[in-house]
Amino acid sequence: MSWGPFLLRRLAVAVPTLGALSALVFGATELLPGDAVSAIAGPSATEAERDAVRDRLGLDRDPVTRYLEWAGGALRGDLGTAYTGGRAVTELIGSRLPNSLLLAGLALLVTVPVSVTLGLLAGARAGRRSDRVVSTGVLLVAGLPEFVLATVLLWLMAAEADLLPQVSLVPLGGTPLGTPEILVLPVLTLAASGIAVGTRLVRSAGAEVAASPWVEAARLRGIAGTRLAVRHVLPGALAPATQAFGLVSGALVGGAIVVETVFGYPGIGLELQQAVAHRDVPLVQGIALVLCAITLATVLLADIAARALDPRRGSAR
Amino acid sequence: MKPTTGSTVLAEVRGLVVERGVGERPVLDGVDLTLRTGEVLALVGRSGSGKTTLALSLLGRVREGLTLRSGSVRVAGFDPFTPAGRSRVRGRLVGFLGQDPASALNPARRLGSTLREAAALVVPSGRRVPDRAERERRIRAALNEVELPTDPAFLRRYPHQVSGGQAQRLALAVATIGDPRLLVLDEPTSGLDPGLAEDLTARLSERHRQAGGAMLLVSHDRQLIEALADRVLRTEEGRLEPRRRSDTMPRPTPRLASPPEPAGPPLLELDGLRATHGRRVAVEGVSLTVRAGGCTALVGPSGAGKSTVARCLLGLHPSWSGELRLAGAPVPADFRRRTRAQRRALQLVAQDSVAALNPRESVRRALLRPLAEGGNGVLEEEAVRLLERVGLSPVLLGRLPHELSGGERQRVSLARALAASPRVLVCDEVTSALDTETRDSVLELLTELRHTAGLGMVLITHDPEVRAAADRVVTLTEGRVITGEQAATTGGGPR
Amino acid sequence: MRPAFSEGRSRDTSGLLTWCCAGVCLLVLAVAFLGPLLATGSPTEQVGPPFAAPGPGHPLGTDFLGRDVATRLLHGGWVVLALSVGATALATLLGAGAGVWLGLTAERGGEMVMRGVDLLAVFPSLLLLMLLATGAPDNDAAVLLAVGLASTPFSLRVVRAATRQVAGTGYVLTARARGDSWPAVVRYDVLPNIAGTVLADAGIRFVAAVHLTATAGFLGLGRGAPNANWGRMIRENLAGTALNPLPVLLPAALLAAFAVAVNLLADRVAGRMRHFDSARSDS
Repeated sequence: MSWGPFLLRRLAVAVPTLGALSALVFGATELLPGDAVSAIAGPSATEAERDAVRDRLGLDRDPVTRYLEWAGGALRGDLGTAYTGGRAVTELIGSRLPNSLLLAGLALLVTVPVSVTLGLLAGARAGRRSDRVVSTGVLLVAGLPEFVLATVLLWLMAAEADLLPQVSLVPLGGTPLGTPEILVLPVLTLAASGIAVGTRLVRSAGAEVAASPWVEAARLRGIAGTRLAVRHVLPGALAPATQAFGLVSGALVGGAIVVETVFGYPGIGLELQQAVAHRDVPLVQGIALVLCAITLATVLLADIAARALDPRRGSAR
Repeated sequence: MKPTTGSTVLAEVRGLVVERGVGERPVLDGVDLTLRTGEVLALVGRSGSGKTTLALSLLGRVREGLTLRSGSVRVAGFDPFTPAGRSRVRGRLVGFLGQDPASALNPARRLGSTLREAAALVVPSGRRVPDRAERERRIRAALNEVELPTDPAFLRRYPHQVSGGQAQRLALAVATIGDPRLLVLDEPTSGLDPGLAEDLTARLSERHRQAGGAMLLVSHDRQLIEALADRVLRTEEGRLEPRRRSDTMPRPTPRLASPPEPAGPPLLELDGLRATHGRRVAVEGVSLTVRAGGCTALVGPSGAGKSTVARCLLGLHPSWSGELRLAGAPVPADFRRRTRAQRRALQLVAQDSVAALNPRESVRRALLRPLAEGGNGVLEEEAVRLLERVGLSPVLLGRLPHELSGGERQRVSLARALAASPRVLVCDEVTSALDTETRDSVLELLTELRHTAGLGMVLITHDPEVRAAADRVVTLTEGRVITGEQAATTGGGPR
Repeated sequence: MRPAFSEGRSRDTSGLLTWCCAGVCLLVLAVAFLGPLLATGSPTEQVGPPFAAPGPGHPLGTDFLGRDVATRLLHGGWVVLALSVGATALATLLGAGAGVWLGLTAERGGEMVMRGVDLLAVFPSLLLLMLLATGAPDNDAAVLLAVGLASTPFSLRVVRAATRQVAGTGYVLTARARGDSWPAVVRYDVLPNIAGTVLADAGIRFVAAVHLTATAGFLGLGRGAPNANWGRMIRENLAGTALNPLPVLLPAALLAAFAVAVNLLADRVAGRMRHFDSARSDS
């Protein structure tokens, strides 16, 4: 199969998936018993005041109609207006998203080389000492919830040692790159959990290849050590590991939300956390939809990268 | 057999003990072996008897899970279990070719890079690193020897872009590029289709005649052993013994005389079967007939759709069309629409004696389940009777499958099928996991059941000797019948 | 199949590690579930100035509202662990039920359903949690549901794969063709042979559930203030680490120790259980 039909087929799955996820996003916030009205009108509001709010927000109409309106708006690039502040949701997202992408990109720059090296070190020598050390270390880090890791890093580096800023304040209108020191802790935390995930994926893909007849044949030809790992195990392990990495990208989106919240980093995750705290339904929906789209795009990109890395493409599947 | 060509000792194994775990029977239990220059030694024996472990020890390799306890190995004076000795031995003094030789090629690397790497490892005439021209010369020579093209376009291909035969020959070239003084061959022809196996056999004997290196051959393949070996030894429970007649299997056409077909009306008839997997047609145009007491063999290479036919007969395949009649009465395609009598009349004895039995179910429950469905009276007695009928002791009732031998498991599987009082047995590769002796005794039992109980039998197999037990043969290739039903007495159609 | 383990020296040291992990788990569980019984004071009563250092009446100091850290620590664990256990049970039951069913029934319909399941698996679990918490604020049931639902697709996929493997074996084919009822096939053939896989998977789901539930507390989702919750304690007291770091460090240490120990333990158990499932058919 050449690239054209491959991409078409993947898109044919991704687009309806995004549609279904949008319904899930809308449904989860709107259909459950809980209601934004009391949050906005306040707990002591009279029934008349609550009615007025409901009327103003259009909440008295049937949810399917409102979903279709919302989804239609989303297609035109209009995600509605935030309850608090009254700014357009797209505008709020647009101002915060670049910061988050920067954070994720930097974390990825650290994650990928470290994961590949550690994963290969463990996978190519599965069952041996180096594998046990790496695997146990990775399990330890993977066991830590991100917010615990972030909090402890924060306490150590900022409060105790006073080395780095505790809160990632960005001057109005500036970018985080203007004050790079605020990026260090968020990137480190995000990379640590990314490495824990990535190393395991590369390791298991590597261990599978290392047990293959062709690697055994290479071993018996006298090839060993780094050469065996890099030239014989890595080429076969890269594609499956990349694809698996795409499938766990949802976990990394979660990590980014937590990290931004802990460090007060002005990204889309912090915005979401605040929107949830304020029950700002349109803003929550808008950000959730964007995050879903990003996750899906990551899966798609990982699929494409995996295919590009696999010399057998075109023969199978 | 040829005389031994050299007299100097090339490789020597003394008192080798390799264990799996503490307290278990050793895989190799004090083995001594001497291999002379230019000699070809074949190792035969049951799987698990340690022959591959012994062969790999010459390369200084002990597989994961095994431990070298004691003993020594020397190849041309080097100890392959030391790092220095290993680097001299592997790929230089000793070459290796394993099961399905083409699988030694890394699917993610180009053919040329695999060859260049192998050539670079070889040390010619004492120099540490051969120069580029020398390397190219070796690559060309190795490719010429196996009659493969040497042009850059060919070498830029990946293994999946060449034919199976080319890939296999390339693997041979990679293994022999340094003209190793010893070639270790670990079941190189097992699982190959006959054409590839013949080609490999011819090339190996040609190579031995021309270059004359020693070989250690682990195999069951009688033809390969006869073409190459000067000496044959048998591994038995971790020790070396002289060979036995039954250790090897011939590859070619059957030699047993087939029984005549019994007379009488057809018991099971299948007409114009067409089965699909999704949109792909898996099997098309298969028809077969079985008479009471008769046996129809369904043969063909793996992947030809034989097991699909079995699933269709039992109504387990989700989408197929064609006519199935049992004693003249039509049987629905889907097992859910069959009556209980129809379901019980056709019984499957499944491929692979291990997966055929539930690993967590005792023999007793495996037999009682179908018996209870049938509503028989004294079930336990019935189960004992069934075990006796397949030649097993009632002591086995309380056992789990992993506590049984391969042959016992196959008999239990058969007893379970008989528990449903079938009229036709569909046997799917029932002997493929068994060694020769056990296989023959299971085949005998099947024949006996046909004659005494008037059972019809569909025997799915790729083994020519099993096929010889049938009175009718249908040959499948890629889902199509290439030779229709024929009486097997004519000697069998093309393979 | 290849041997999954190589025997040898590694067993001894890893055995010790496993026992240590089990000990840590039990200790944290004891603090969480026996804590509310042992605590004498009220977790919401102000006993001193905010962020006071340890002293009489408040042995671990006070938090940002001047409440006793020790009492809040003893009260704040059970909700995190109980919700995790509940969510794991939910995910395992849903996942195993649907997984066995999908693994045994028609191939094509199953593929369609699996597409949908994959879709849910891509959905970031924390996002699902935040969405449901927006829809149903101040509600622990929403946290349990979200955490359980977020784990279900993974459970389902694992159980379905294991079931399909069993469903393709000769003994299941034989039983089906013979006309054995579905309940009999599930009871005798499927369940005994996937039990190890299901248990191993539940361990992995539990690790994820602990993470997610603690994170929910940290983000202030679920039943809100003034109830004690280890996750939320960390967030509430982050500003005062310079004055009294204990209300941040102690719950963080308990959560970290538990999460890490459970993760290591689940990995060991998963290895053993898969080994157990394949050992019999391997011999």
